[in-house]
Amino acid sequence: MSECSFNVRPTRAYAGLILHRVFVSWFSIIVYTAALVPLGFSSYTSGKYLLLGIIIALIAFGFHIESLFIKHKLIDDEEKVLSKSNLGCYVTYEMVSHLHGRGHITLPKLLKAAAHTTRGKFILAQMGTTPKAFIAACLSSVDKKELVLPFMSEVADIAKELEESRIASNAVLLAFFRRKGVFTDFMNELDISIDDLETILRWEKFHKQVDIVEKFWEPQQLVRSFGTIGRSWSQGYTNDLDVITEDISGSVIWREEKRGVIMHEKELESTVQIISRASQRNALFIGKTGVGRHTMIENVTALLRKQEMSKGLPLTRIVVLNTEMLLSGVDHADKVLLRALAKAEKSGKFFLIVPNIAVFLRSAEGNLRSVFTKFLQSKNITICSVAAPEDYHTYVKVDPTLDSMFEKLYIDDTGDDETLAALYVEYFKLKRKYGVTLTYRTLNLLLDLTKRYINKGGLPGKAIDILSDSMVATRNDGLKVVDEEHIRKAISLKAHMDISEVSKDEKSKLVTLAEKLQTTVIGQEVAIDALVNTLKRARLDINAGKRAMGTFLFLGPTGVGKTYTAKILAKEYFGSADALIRVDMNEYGSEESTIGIVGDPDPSVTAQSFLTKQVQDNPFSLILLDEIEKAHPKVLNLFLQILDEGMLSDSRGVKTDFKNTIIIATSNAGALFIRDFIKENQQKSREDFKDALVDTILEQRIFTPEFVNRFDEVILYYPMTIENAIKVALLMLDGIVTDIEEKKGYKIRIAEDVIVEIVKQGYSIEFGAREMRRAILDIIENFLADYLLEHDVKRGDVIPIEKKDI
Amino acid sequence: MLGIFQIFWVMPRLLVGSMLPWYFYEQPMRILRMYGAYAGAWLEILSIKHLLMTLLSPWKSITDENDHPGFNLERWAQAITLNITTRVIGFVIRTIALAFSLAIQIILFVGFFIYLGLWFLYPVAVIGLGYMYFIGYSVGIHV
Repeated sequence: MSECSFNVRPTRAYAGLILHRVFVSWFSIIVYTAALVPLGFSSYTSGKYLLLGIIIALIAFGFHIESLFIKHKLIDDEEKVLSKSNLGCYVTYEMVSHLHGRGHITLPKLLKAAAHTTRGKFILAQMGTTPKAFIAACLSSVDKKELVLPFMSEVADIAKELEESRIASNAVLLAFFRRKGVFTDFMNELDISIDDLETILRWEKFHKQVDIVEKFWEPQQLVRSFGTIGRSWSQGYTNDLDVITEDISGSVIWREEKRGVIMHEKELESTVQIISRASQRNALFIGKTGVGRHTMIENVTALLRKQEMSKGLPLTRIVVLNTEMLLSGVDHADKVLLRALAKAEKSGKFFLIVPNIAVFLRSAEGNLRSVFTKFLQSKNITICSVAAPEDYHTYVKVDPTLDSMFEKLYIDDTGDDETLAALYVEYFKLKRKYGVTLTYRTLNLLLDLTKRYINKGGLPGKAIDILSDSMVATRNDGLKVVDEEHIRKAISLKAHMDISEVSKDEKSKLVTLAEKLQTTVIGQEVAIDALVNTLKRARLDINAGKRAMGTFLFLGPTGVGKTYTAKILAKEYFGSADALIRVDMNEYGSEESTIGIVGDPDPSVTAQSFLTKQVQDNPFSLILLDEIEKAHPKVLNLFLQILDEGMLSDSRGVKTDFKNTIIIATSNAGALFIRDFIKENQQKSREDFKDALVDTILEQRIFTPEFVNRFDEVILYYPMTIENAIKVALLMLDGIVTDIEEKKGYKIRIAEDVIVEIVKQGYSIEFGAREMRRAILDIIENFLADYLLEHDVKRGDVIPIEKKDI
Repeated sequence: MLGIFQIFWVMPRLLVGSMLPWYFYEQPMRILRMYGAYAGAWLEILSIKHLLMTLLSPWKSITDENDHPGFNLERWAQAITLNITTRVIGFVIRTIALAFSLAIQIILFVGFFIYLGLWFLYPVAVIGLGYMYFIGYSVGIHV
């Protein structure tokens, strides 16, 4: 450290900067021209232009040589440094060119320079700010008297950490942001953590690498533009094969390199092993649309080609089957495929990609399937295809011969890091195309909202679609930066629902939820508080978004409002009573009834599970599992997965996401215990009561401990008291009377003793208020029917109901 | 302000240690590699080897196969005519492509080697011109 110094002047970068200004700038061109004027004048007067021509040519060539030297040996940051003990030699050309007053460098000068470089501007833009705002907020906190050398030593270490060979603006900015204080405040304002910043820096580095646009005259670009005309002429048509396939052999490596990130690396390795085998080299990738199944095949082919090229092996020809052309564009598809593949087999090694095996098999008749199956055994032809999980079960698994010829590889949604990587790669391409930018925070929001609201399709595909849609929409609106509104709109369009309301109002809904539920569900204040508090906690939980929004087991006797609470919650939380998916667990009492939950494993039966279909269609739902104690233990085991992971894989391997649902299971289990316990232990607390009830249920083996423990909360409903029964009766009567008044226009006045009679008929300790609605309808409707027949009643008339009349 | 002159300390090192090896070795090698890349790219686009190997092959492998049982003169003549025609078309087009490909290779070869020649001649030309201008003038050689 003591041997180190920091001076940017005796460096390549600084020499490059000065020489550039002196010899190859616009200024120097003017000087050269001015110097040539007298010679030009003398040539003009003498009429001898040869010397002038030679001198101009020499100056021009010299200019060319100087600029090449400065570019390759001085400006290029990869050149060997002049002095290893001078940290200034490691500073990039771009940083040096943005530094002012290089003789006396201070920390504020470094901060300004770092913010104004192209890389610095990109980093700050990703953070959602500008160099101007950053400098205005942070510059004053940087002491210009602070020693630069210790700071630059720290920056050099950070540059190593960032795997940079030189000190660039990214390392300088990170060093400043790690100083905390004003910098942390500035990041907090932008809602960016230091981890987020490090992710941004990683992507900025990647952006720098991929942002180099190849000129059209560069050799590789020429090959891509013109193709291999000579080779294709000499190969000619492999007649039938050329008609039904597209040859992508020439572009696979380039496409893989352009892609920038490799996803599903494990599966990729396995596939390369599979296709390198002597036999059974066909692979089938099973996964949802958008998880990168086709990209996987392309990456496999690129690796295969690279291997062949490095080992000097004959090249495998890679072709993509044009399924539509084969099935609809030619007569006798089976004969064409047979001829094509037979000729291909003889002419060398082929890698045939079938874009979607389900489309092919759905329309392929017997002969075509036989031809296809025959070539799956060919030594020279490797076949790769993709299928959605449900299609695999319906079209491939039903044919055991066909199924056995493919190695199956399951491709799942990419994780957050991989998806973000794919999003960044796509963003860099689209940025160039549309001239629209977005910040790291917006990109993260896009990923969160996509995961949450778009159920169909896989990641990263569905997130990339949203990115593309929102960037196009931003450009069409004449804006330069994608904002959150554009993301929400794009997701709303894709999800066929307005997510701007759902995603924004969740907090306020939770705040007022308890109040709304208390006014309609009578006598269960403690249960409702417990329910709402758990929902609030679940929202802030670190596992939020990884499981269902809330899972509850409602225990209590019948007729106390368990199911009613679920109905009201569905209406208040999801905006409609239709958001309730009611599953009567009575119907799932046998072992075979698991089919109703996970679908039929028999591929020839196309029936889908009721529950998963409902949740796929309405991901924002409240699932009510009524009378759960009546379900078969195997059915309950299926719910363990849903409660634990927030998803269910059905018998066909299709995963259904339950993360946007609230799951409520109701049970009367232990109802007798409740009645007796309350009679005998009135002084005991609710917690004691709950513990005793749960213990009893577990002792009686109605539920297993792991099942009960999977719920976020076990909520206890107390038997209904007579006072609460009266409140329920009044609430129901109010609803019925108001309804009649609005529809028919009659004003109904009910005497107190009638209400007492209703409560008598509608309430019992055993069944709570279950019979209340029936009692009201019996008493009030029967009376009204008789009354209207006997009297001539007009709109606005008052109808009194008294005990003697009923 | 005078700090700018610090680069004079590094200039000799840059000229001797960087400029000379770069000018006489690194950059000529780079020029040769660039020539190789362009020549290779054009050989990939219009492959002389493949064009020669398939000079007389049928155009796009379009052939008529007389796969009917027995001998039928009309059918035989028809197949022969088409096969000869397609080979002639193939020959003509491939010959044009071959000529085009050779022309490009010659242009690239000549162009790059002229450039390389100029590169090496440049210092000689500058020194020569300087000699003639400053020293030659004093001994009576006028430019």
